[in-house]
Amino acid sequence: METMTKPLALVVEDDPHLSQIFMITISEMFETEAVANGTQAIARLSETAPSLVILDINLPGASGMEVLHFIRTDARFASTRVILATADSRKADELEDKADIVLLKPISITQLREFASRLVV
Amino acid sequence: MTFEYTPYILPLIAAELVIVSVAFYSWRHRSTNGALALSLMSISIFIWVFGNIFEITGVELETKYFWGVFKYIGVAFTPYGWLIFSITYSDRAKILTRRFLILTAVIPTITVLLALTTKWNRLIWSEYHLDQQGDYFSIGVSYGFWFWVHFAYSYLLLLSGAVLLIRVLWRRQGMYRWQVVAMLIAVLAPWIGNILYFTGNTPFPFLDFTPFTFTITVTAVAWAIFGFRLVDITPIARDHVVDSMREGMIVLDERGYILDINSAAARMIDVPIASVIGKTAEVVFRPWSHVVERFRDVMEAKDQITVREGEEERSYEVRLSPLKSAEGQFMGRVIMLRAMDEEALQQERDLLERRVQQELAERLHTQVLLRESEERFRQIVENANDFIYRTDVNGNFTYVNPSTLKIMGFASEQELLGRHYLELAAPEYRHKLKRVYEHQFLRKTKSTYYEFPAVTADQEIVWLGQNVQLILDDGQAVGFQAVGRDITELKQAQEALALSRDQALGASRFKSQLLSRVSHELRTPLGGILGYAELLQYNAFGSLTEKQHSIVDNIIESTNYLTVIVNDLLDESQIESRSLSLHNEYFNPAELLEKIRNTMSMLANKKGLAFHTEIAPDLPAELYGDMNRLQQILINLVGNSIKFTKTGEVRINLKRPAPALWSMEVRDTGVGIPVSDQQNIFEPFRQVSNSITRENRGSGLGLAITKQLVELMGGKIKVESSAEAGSLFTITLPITNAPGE
Repeated sequence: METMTKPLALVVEDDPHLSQIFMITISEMFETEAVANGTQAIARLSETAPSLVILDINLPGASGMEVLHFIRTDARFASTRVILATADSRKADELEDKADIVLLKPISITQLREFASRLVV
Repeated sequence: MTFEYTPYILPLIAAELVIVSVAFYSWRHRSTNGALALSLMSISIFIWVFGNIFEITGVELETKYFWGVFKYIGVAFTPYGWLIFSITYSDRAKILTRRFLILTAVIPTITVLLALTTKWNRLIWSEYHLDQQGDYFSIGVSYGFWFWVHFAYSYLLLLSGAVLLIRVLWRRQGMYRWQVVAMLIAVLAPWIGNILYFTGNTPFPFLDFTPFTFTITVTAVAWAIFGFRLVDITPIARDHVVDSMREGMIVLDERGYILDINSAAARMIDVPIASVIGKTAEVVFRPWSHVVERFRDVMEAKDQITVREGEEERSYEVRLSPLKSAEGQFMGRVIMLRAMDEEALQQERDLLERRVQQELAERLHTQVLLRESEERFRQIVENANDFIYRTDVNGNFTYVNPSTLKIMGFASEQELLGRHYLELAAPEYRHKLKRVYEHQFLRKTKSTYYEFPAVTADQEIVWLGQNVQLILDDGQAVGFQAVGRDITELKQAQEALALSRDQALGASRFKSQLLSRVSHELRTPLGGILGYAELLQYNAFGSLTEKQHSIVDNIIESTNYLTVIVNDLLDESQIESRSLSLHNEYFNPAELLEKIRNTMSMLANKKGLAFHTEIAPDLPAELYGDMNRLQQILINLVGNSIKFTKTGEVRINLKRPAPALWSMEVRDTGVGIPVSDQQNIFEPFRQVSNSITRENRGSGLGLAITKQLVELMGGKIKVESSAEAGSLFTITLPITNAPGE
């Protein structure tokens, strides 16, 4: 019963190792689910309406930016928080306004855990 | 109106006939001096007499009145015509301006108008009635005021004309005696008539005698000016000089009739003077017919003619010049003849000889000069290293210099002359070349430069660069002239240069792209390593032994180091490829320091170092710049300071050293930098010797990136340091505003 109370986090990451690391890192606070590309992400989002999305920018299928746009323009996801992960430091500056948190890869799990807990109380 | 015949009109009718013929004749010959005025004067008198005839034959008073008034048209204008004639005949036509003609016609015009209406104004005739003289009735009149004005004016004009003509007669000595007589009659007739009329010595006291006297005048004038051809032109002075000259003189009128000839000329042609005047030149000069033929239509000439007379040949110098009237009208020609005796001929021949010699010498000299200059040019062209050739308009070679042959590999010019230039061009360039020179030809462009490959006789490719000039003759293009050189080596060098430049550019681009890509791609596996290691550390996969913990720490540390290197590499590659751009905006310098403090103070404190920041009070509260990059710079410098300082402090000072500058100082109490190393610490991969320890290693790019960022911001970085005395890094930046402010 206790697990049912945890909010849902969707990890959108095409690298399976990173995906696994992200899930383990936040598994104490979130129910986690992972998809490996943007198209799947959009499909899954509509079904689950997660509280948190950890979103890689550079994705196969629909790009991270498209997924972000999808989340931000749909009222169902008004309360969904987004942590963006990018390898491009230049992009990181530009994206700061659009996401709740932007983390530059490689992501320290200490940081990730801290931000995730701060976003979804 | 009824009319009655009276014999008095017979002399008038006779006068009318004479006047009509004079009027007609002078009109037909109106080009003769004075004839036109004479014609007009005749018409006036004709009207006068015409009116007079009907006045006399009219029965009723009103009929007589009508014609009596009518005749004033003629009466008023006869003296006017006379004046005009006198002026013209005396060669004073220049004063006959339109203004003069109008002004002198004012009084006659008024007279006519008043006369036609005198019944009402009574200014010409104040009263008129029938007067009986035996069985003949004439009109008797009393003259009004204007009649006397007209009278006085008419005599004034008559007198003026008479004076002018008498002066002419006095001056012109070349006139014939009877001509003078005729003119004198013309001048005097009106006066004598008037004297007779006023003294009452006329056969018919009631008949106005004036029309008759004027009839005499115009007839005499006509006789004077038409009676003899001589008067077709203004008579020429013909005095002793002319007649006693050694030179012969002949005057021809515009139709070629002889008007005058002097004794010398008559002797030369061997004709009596009297028999040739008035004959045409052809008739008189029959023995000289070829001469006449030669000069028939010549106005002005100077020449030498030779005439055979029996066995003898005689030479004359002939000069022809035109005669013109005062108005510049052509009136005839004067021929002057000068006999050339043996001495004169010899002189003439010598002169001619000398001239010919002189001319020849000059020409010879010119030819020598020309040949010399031609030779000079030929040598230049033949010895030039440049190729020089000419073609005709179609493009076929008409000249090629030795260099052309050498470059193109031909042995003799015969192999090229007559061939088309396009045959030498590399086939794939022929079309282009053809267009270039067709264009030059059509546009008449003076000069063009073009480079193209040509094929030599040995089938080798040579690149040629040539200046081609259009050869123009009188605005028409008649060919092309080309000067140029073999630029094959130049071309090859250019191509090699272009290739290596492209390669270098490509390599540099490739390096930047590679670095960028590699550093991107490295982040994901780095994330994996770091992530798993951290998870291990958090005991996410079960608790670790102490030894295992320490190994995981090492993994994390190495990964962090690798991450720094990857980040620096990326920055460096972006700066290098100039793809890094600044995101300038207004920021608060206090906020900047706060962020540095947040990230760095913990690190400093961990090593037991004090960390201070300070902002000078005169620093603006807002600065314009890329805060993220400034932060990066400070973190870099502060990070270095912390790394190389064991005890003491690290301090950041923000200052305003000049009104337009601000500065960031990072000072530490660390190991310092030896002077020998201060020069190159800002170069990539340079690190202070022996400074690398496990704790303070970096990518070796930090200061290089810092310096490049500072320079990108338009600032400067400098270091002051000595070994063991700590370091001071000062970054000075301009205070700027956002563009457009």
